Amino acid sequence: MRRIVIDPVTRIEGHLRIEVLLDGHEVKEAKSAGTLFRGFEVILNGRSPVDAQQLTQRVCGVCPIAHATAATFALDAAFGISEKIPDNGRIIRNLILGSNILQSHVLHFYHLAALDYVDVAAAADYTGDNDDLLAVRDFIARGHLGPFLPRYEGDYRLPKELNLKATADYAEALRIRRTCHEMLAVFGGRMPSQCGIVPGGASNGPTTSKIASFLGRLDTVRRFIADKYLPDVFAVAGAYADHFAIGGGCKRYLTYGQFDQTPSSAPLTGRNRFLAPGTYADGRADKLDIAQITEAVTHSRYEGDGPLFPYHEDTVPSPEKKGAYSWLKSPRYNDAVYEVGPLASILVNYANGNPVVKPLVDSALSTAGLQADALSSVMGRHLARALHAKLTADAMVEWVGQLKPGEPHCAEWTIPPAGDGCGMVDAPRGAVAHWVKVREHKTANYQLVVPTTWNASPADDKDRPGPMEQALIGTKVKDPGNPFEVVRIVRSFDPCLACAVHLVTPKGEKLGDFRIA
Amino acid sequence: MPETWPPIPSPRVVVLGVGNELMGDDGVGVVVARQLRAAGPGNDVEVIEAGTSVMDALDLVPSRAHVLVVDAATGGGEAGSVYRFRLDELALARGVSLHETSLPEAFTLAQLAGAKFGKVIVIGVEPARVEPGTELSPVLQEKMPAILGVVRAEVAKLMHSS
Repeated sequence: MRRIVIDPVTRIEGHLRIEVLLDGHEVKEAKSAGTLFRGFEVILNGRSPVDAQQLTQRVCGVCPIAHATAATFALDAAFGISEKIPDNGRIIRNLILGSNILQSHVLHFYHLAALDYVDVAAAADYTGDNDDLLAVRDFIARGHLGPFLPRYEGDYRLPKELNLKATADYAEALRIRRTCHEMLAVFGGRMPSQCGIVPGGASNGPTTSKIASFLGRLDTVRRFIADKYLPDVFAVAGAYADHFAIGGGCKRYLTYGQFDQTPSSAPLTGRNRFLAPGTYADGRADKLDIAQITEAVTHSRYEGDGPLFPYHEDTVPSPEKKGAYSWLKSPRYNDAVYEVGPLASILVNYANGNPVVKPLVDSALSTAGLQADALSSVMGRHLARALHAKLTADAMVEWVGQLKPGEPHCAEWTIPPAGDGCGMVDAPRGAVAHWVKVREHKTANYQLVVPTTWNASPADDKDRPGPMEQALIGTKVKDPGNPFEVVRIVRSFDPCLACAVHLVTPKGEKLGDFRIA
Repeated sequence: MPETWPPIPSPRVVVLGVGNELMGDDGVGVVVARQLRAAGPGNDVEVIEAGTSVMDALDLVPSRAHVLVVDAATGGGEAGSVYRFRLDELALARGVSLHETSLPEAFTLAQLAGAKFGKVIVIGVEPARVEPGTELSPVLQEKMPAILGVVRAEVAKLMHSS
């Protein structure tokens, strides 16, 4: 047996550590361990409940908008105004969240995932006139390979012209994410720490100039998604067709849905969302029952065992607990292991016959020559993320058209003496939920369960490994000295972990750890 | 809400406060940025609270401006120790998560996308306590005037460099 540890120690805490045990070339055991920000009540308790919208955005620099959205839904519910959100406010929230999802998906594919498949070194001897490729060439010439490292050599399969095309698109993708942020700021006021999504609706209403400004940028982003992002994903998928057969995992999926189409006081399941909430397993979609969500802490460094409903539990650290190997808890649904993320949203809504999702997925499957069950894989997650970007961007055009300048954008509200609220939505990397308890006009308790708690969770009270662990178990590793298969599986989940702290370390100290024992 | 955006000022030096202010001393960069702004950073100096969104904040840096990054840093010294280093003295690696985008990586990506920076200097502050909470540790609070002094001196130096 050989042990491989992938441990990018870039922070004091907050990183994801993957440990796999190989029997020959096959992964026999996998453990994912990480830190997520729990104990949030320490900060929010005793403050005005409204602070949650701003403060929870600062938990994370990558999906702040999803936190703002979940917090605002929770506050709407606690304030008793969920059914009073004016259409302008509802739509502007969707546009702000949508802008952030687009930038996240584009950045994830090009900056993290694509470099596992696209060989940027193809630009080293570039002699053409594409400015982006010349810039990459110069970076390579100066030895500035940093953003492209660590590379796991030995499995770059794309022909040179496709490597060059995707590398040029990589540079453009970095500008597209900036365009997405500009879109976001049109209605969100600023980025980072937008202030557009607020209890009651949106802080600012639509004007014709804002609409024009937003639409112009959205058009640029849509063209990039249709002409570059999707074709690049298909090119990679074609060359790595075997990656539709690895990294499947638990094959059960859960989504909270995205983009309210009508206001509703129902916390979740009664809401009409563009992408519906639900679950998917064995080829069948089902309604979501939030009462079925529990968290176990059997292998987590907290007191107790569980499983308990997240809102009813305490978070008491127990660093030395026997058998514990992660600071993550183990969320489970209906006593089973579930994966979250864009793939979950796509599969649930495909099986539901969602009129926008179904034809797009059918056409993608036929282009790639695949059956729907192939989506439960490493490459399936990337394809689903790209399709999710496409259908979100296209729908946003319609939503902008529904804005009505001059009409209300925010409902009136006051902070009640007491109230409870739950807000749920899919962040770019999956289901995120906030729970708030208001007492004496102040926050009395606040809990969050974020997407990677689901995906990177440790084994539960019944010793069932988490989704990422299951995706790794059984994987064939060609070269244990260069385990790119393991890294590709982990990246495909778009994990979010290291957002809790942000420290720098001057050169000289060991920052990455990749060892084989 | 005005229908036209106000003209964007084009400062010579941008101070970037980096860190998670919800994690105690990790947020020291953000606290420095706020205090500097409250006290008046001076003409031609812009202060940005980048927080944990470094890549996003770099979009706001005008072309060819010098950048002074203030962040928590683990350099092995006592809590409150202040380090000064150039960007290329920081280690650089690509992790498994978008959440691991490091400071040098964020600058490199911005440059790949076409951004131009002047000098980039990092002021690092050794934290005493990195754990949930919005307050700095007493050690760092006590050293804040000294830290601000270092930052101001560095800003002045950058103002006069080409």
